[in-house]
Amino acid sequence: MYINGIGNISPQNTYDQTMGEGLVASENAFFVCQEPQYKQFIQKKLLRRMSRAVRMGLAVAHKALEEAKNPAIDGIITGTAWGCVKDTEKFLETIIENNEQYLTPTAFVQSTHNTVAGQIALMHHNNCYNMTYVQGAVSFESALIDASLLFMDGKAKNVLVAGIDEQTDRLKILLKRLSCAQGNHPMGEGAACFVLSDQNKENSYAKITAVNMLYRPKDKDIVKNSILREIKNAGLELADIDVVMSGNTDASLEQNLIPDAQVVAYKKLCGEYPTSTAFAMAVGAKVIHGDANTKIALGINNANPENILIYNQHQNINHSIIILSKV
Amino acid sequence: MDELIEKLKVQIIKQLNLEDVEPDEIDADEMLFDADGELGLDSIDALELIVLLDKEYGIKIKNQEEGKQIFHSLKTMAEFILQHQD
Repeated sequence: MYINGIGNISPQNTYDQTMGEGLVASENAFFVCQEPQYKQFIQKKLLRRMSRAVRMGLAVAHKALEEAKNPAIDGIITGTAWGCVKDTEKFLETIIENNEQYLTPTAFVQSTHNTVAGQIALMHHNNCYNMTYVQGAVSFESALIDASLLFMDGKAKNVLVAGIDEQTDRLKILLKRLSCAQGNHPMGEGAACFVLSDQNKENSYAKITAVNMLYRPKDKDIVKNSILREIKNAGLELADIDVVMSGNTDASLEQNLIPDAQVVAYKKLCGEYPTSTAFAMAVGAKVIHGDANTKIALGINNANPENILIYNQHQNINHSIIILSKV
Repeated sequence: MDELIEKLKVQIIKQLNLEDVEPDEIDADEMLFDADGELGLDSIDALELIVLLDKEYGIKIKNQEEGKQIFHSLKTMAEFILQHQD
């Protein structure tokens, strides 16, 4: 799968591709997205009903398609763990406040996890394959694997894949109570969308050479073997991995396994959220494509990294591995 | 009547989340559901307005045809409320 277009809204200034010009710090242990002016590509009449998750999803889809020169899309696949949580909160609040009466349709209609994929399809008048994965910390990876299966089956030439999660004030409180924050990473949010293609184009950023995920591995050896297997399946040697983008506060496993690679922590830029690997893939692809600003922001020393391994895990429940390679 | 229209403007802006619309910008005689109009409300907004009438004024609309007349403009809404409020 080739990455031919990227749209990325994150706590950093990634939408207009200026991340290296001044990094945004987290505030009170939370990262909040730097959002573009949505009115430039979403009609005012539609915008008023959309929560941030939907707006961000539409904006990154718009950007990714624009970068890929608006190819015909054969699939729209999103991954989100929290979904349109703001509208869910609004709907539930109305139930309580109005004693289960006077329920209005808007928040309910927009509260489902597949709202973003649906709105992208509506906006682009696209009635192709449309799927949303709600799979905890591997929601985005599940979407990627679905896209790869479409390509393998010859059912698609270009697929839009996105990872989206929005925060709300109430969610922040709940996540703290549930101890969902791990290590020293602030909580975060973001939306990243990709136009993936089975064809290498002149505007291709990178190639996705491996995607895999693990569920509750019994020990570290299972994780290590899985990483080694993915590297081998990608047609690479251990020494070919130039950079490991780690989502973990303790990166000793990946550092010990691939000692010659530089390990960088990507969540210092986006925070902890279930689809943070979409952010990692967006910035990783830009690094491989030669974006010096993004490389500086991540603290990557290698002058010309050709293979980047993204490894993330959340509370030892979901582990995921993505390998990006130069095209 | 004028006071009720002003109140309705504020309530509608809030209920329909009409971003960037100020109460002064809404003409009481303007068609609410004109696709080419300033407000350009749609069928989902109609449901929101039905709920608003029920919740805020205790008035239920049972007839679809009746609804078309009531929601023609802010003025017709206000007239209907004044006629049907206890």
